[in-house]
Amino acid sequence: MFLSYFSNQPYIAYDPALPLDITADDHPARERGDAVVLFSNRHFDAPAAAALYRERMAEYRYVDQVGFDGIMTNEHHGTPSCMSPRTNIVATAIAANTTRVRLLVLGNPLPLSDNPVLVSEEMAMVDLLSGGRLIAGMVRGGGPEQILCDVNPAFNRERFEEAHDLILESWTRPGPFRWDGTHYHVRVVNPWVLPLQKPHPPIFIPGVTSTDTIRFAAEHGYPYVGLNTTLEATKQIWELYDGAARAAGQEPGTEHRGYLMRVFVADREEDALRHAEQFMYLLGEVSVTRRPEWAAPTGYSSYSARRDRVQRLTAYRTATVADQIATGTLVVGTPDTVIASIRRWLEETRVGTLVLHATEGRIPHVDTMRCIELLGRDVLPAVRDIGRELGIRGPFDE
Amino acid sequence: MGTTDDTNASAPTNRRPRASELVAFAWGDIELTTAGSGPAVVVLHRDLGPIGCAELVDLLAADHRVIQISLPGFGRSSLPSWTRSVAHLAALIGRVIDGCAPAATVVGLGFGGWVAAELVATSPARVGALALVSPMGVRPRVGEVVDQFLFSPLRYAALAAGGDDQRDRLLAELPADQVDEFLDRSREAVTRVAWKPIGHDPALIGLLPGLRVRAAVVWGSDDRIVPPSTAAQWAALFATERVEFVDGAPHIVEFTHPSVVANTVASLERAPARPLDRIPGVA
Repeated sequence: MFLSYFSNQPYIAYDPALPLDITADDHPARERGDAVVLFSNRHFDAPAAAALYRERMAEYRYVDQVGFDGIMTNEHHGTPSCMSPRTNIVATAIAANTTRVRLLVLGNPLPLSDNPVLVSEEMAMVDLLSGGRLIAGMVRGGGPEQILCDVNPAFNRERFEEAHDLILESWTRPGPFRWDGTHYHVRVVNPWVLPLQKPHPPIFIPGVTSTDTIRFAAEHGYPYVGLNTTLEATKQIWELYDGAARAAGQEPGTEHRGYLMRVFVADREEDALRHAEQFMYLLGEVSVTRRPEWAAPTGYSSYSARRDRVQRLTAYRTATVADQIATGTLVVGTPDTVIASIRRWLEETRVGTLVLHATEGRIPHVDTMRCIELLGRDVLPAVRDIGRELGIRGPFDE
Repeated sequence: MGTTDDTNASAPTNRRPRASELVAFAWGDIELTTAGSGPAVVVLHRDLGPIGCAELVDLLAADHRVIQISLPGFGRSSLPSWTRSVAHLAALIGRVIDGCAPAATVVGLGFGGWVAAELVATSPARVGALALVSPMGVRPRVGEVVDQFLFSPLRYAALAAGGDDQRDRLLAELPADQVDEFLDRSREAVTRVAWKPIGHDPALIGLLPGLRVRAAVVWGSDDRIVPPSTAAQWAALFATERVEFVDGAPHIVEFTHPSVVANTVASLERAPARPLDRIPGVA
């Protein structure tokens, strides 16, 4: 199995009551409760942010030591929920702070770049600097990213697929050559920084439930990582993925299945439960789902697909912590409790990649460090044993 | 000059007969709604879609053949996948006008005014006269065009209509279960051709000066989408003194004050024609 760690790197040094207010100097489109896109950065405290980055790097160093196989990074813009506006930069920093873990960049939002060759070069640089530890995840970018990076959402999927093709070509075809596509026109493709891993770094694709993205991953034989989807939705993903993979001549296996699980471990059940509330940070305090026109802007996908997505996300956001624990989308407790929950999940979904989203919101650094320690000491070895027992292969297993 | 009469406060009755049809062009279908008879007037709608102009069409149809064109991607009109700009829409609309109303008077409402301006900028002979009603297309010197993508479709419609009540009355033209999808389809068309710059084309201020098209500008004094002060910029670009401000009117002037717009069209048509530029020595 491939066991990875994830933190959203939230910026938390502001009063959580602030987003609930509307003030005279707010943007006219901002609504009460909005903590993304138009929540003013006048509330950003740079020294506090620098301290938060130092804490995250200390956590990543510890993750590397305690036995995780990877660290996942991501990218968001214009939101306190994520202090990583460039996933390749944080991956580079992690590469410099670690020696073992793979860098699960999940991923580069390809449509946001007007020249994907620059993204190709950045990923190649991360791979070289890390000694071939990059996993080159690729994503379409969330709805707010289209607004904040000023990229037309109507062409998002076309740009994603074309950028993917161009990046692969830039890694595998000797330059110089010209790229005359539909959305990208690059006069000279000839990067002089190429990945260490050949023919190119492994590619993973994450998603929520977009059927087009699941099919894209399956048809290319890329592992797909379901981002904290419900058990039912996760099973539907693998049904669709397996069918699409076989139709494309691929043989799907557990090594193609990934899942991001929100987990928090503490020495006592009550401590873990207390911190479980912090996982509502993304769903409540900084949720974009209250603004469908940002979460899924017009053109990002079809009208019906966006309407369904918003309904699903809204239901997810409004579920209580207790509901989420009961349905298994949020796993908290002592190591024994968590191991039992993960076992049930693995039995049902047979995922070969498990990303443990193991801190969130305002969980103190010291408690996150203890969580990492308990995961490494107790949970990871047990999960590996369960994986072997269930015959689950990871993407990097021999 | 200010106008305050003519507030359209109640639901219209006894509409003139009108016909709606889909006309096939090489690039796709275009929805045309026609009414009345007489000299042709073309109506190009706003970014909310082909709604809110029924009363204006009625008034114009008393002595005109009115052709309301659903812009590509709006209403039942199709949008070719290659379109990337408002100028592309204008090129398509020019072909439609060639087929049904050459050299007609064009009434451009908001976003439709932007399309009309792009059309006249490259094909001035296709337009007999141009009535621009709170048009988009030029970057305001003061303020900015509202970015609809930051607002929900319903909230943006309320800004355009001048409040929730007026918005609800505007949208009552549509079956209730189709409102969301109608607004979404309209927004997607705008997304595809006018994502950025927001609400304007920097080239227009270079292309429009010197045209000899008869033009008039109408603006609501309470427009919350495009600053009313932009009217002066349009007047300068078309070298016209025909600028009418409607006191208290929102962005969608033709919905709240349709007869002001109709009267502007009539007055514009009575104005003497301005000959097109000719190259000296060329017949």
